[in-house]
Amino acid sequence: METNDKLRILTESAKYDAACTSSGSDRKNIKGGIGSAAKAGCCHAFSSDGRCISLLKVLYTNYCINDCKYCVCRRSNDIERAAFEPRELAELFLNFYRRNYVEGLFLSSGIIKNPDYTAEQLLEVLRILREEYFFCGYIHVKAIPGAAPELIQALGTLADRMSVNIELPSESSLKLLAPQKSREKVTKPMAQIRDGIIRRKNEIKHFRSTPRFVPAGQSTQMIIGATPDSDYQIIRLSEALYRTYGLKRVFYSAYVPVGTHPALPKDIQPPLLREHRLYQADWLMRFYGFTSDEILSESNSHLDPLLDPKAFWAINHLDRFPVEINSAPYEMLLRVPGIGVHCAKRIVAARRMSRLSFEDLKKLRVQLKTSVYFITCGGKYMFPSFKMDYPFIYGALTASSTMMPAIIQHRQLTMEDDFDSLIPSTEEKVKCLTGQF
Amino acid sequence: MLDGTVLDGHGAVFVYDGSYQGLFTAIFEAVYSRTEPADIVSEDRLQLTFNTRFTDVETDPAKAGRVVSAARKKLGGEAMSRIYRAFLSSGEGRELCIYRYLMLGFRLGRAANSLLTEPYVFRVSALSQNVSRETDKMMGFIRFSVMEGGVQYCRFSPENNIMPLVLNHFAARLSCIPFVMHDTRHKILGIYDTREKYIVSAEGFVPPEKSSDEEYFEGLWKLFYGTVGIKERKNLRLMKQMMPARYFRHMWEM
Repeated sequence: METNDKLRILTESAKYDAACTSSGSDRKNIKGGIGSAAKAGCCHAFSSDGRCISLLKVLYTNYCINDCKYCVCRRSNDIERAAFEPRELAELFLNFYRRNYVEGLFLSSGIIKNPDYTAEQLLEVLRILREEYFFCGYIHVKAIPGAAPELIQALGTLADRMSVNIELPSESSLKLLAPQKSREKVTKPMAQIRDGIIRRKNEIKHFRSTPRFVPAGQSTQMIIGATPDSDYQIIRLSEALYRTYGLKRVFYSAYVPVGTHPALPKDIQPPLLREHRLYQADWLMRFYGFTSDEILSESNSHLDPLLDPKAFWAINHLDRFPVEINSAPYEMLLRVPGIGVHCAKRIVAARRMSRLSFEDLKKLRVQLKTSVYFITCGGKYMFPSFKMDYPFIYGALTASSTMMPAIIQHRQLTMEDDFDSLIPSTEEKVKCLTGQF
Repeated sequence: MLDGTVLDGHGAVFVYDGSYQGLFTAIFEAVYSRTEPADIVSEDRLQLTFNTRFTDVETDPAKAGRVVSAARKKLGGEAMSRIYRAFLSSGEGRELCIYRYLMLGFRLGRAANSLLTEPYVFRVSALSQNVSRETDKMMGFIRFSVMEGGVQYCRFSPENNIMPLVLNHFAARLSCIPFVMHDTRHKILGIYDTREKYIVSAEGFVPPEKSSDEEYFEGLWKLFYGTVGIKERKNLRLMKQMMPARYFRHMWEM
């Protein structure tokens, strides 16, 4: 088979993986080698779906012994199959890299023959790149669940980032759709990688020559919308993963209907809004000091389609507002909808020098569109008519939401004209999120 | 005495040669002649007007060096790299903003860095951010071709004069590959011969022919680019937002 056929088939199978970041690792070029990696990462193009392309994202092979119902490579699926040769892939990749098409390699694989054999093949690709071509750029490799610990360890010393995908947010969903997988099979390599990273951190204090081990940390992915799991379950799981396994990232991937199993939803649009809201919630947990229980609860288990999770939290905690820009602690500034990490830092730096007015905030390029309802400068709102009143703020914040017309249309079809309250019902919110509107 | 105290005389326009050292020489001259500059402009942007006093500045590395090291001491290294990036931008009036920022810095020290409510401090930081953003984009969007003889060549046309930044980046990354970067907007070449880096004028430069297997790899990349997008998630608006169409000219996969 020609290389271009392999590239087409193995890209086709890899593209549903959401992880394509090249950040978190600093590698310097070594003499006679090629490549480098910068902490910030770099996007090299954006594909037609608007996602960043930073890595050559391919499978080593899409032959697979597993039959996970949601996966395009499942054994029972009738698709073209291919496998690279380790050297063929390494050389193709380097030719892309030197032309600056990509920032690094993302290597995943179906399970060919058995987990150990598969991991050995991936290891060979990485070995050629690192030890024969002295490649110093970014490599993300999958830890193959079920592979021997020595193989995972060896992969970890050559890669920058490793990932094991959880794929489905609950054990019951896994049992139903991925009979060969279990939570335990996924968390075992995760724990091994975590321990490896910690061990390296300790050893480097005593021996400077301790080899690197997964310097950009590990990540995982969950498929959103293939199973009935709620947003609350999902962010609880993410939070636990960040805490227990020290993950760098949890990726959320809106389910694109590629499976035929009766338990899987058919004819749906990928739930992109829901995916987007989950990322927002994820960011709140990682950078804004929120816990999952502040964002959602057992009784309110889905994210709001009209309001981002931070605005949703804010209007349900109006007693914490308004926030005085000139005196509020940094942590509280971060909780104001419309104020992000950079903005909050800018405010804290600028208010050391002088008292800030709304004019000054504009000069600091603070987005006032949303934040204006929640802040005061010198004890005054920007407009005297503002008040800490739920319907007033809810109406103001959702007025420009693109989802509102969909809900109104839905109501006109299904209910008599009852516009007392524009606040949508839970059922409507869920429909928005799952792409049924 | 670099303290930015009240200066007598004003209205002079300082004309420098367009280099970073030239700008700092001009600032040196302004401070030591106690003249508040009406503007500081590079030769190529000079527009002669009536009623304006022009002062030609001859670049002097020693004078520039004194201002730079004094400024570094007062404002810190991070601020200096911000100032350098603002200098590389194509923003109008950047020189005067840098001058005023420095004067403020000489008076207040590092505190000047957080005075973002001062328009010129904010402007320097905004220009620097703009340059950083464009540099980051270019580091990703530049496409090299391998030419006959193995030298790599790329063409790009950035808004700001970011050649020094991208040249450094690629020279560090592709350390054993000689390459030529061609900025068609500013008409300059960045050259790396695996040892040294040079920036020269692109006047009369004709790039060599592409090597024979270039088409093959371009084809493979186009194939990858076309395949990796998920058609159920198609969103060209988002794509163009992230990768504005003005960059497409030199990205042949588009």
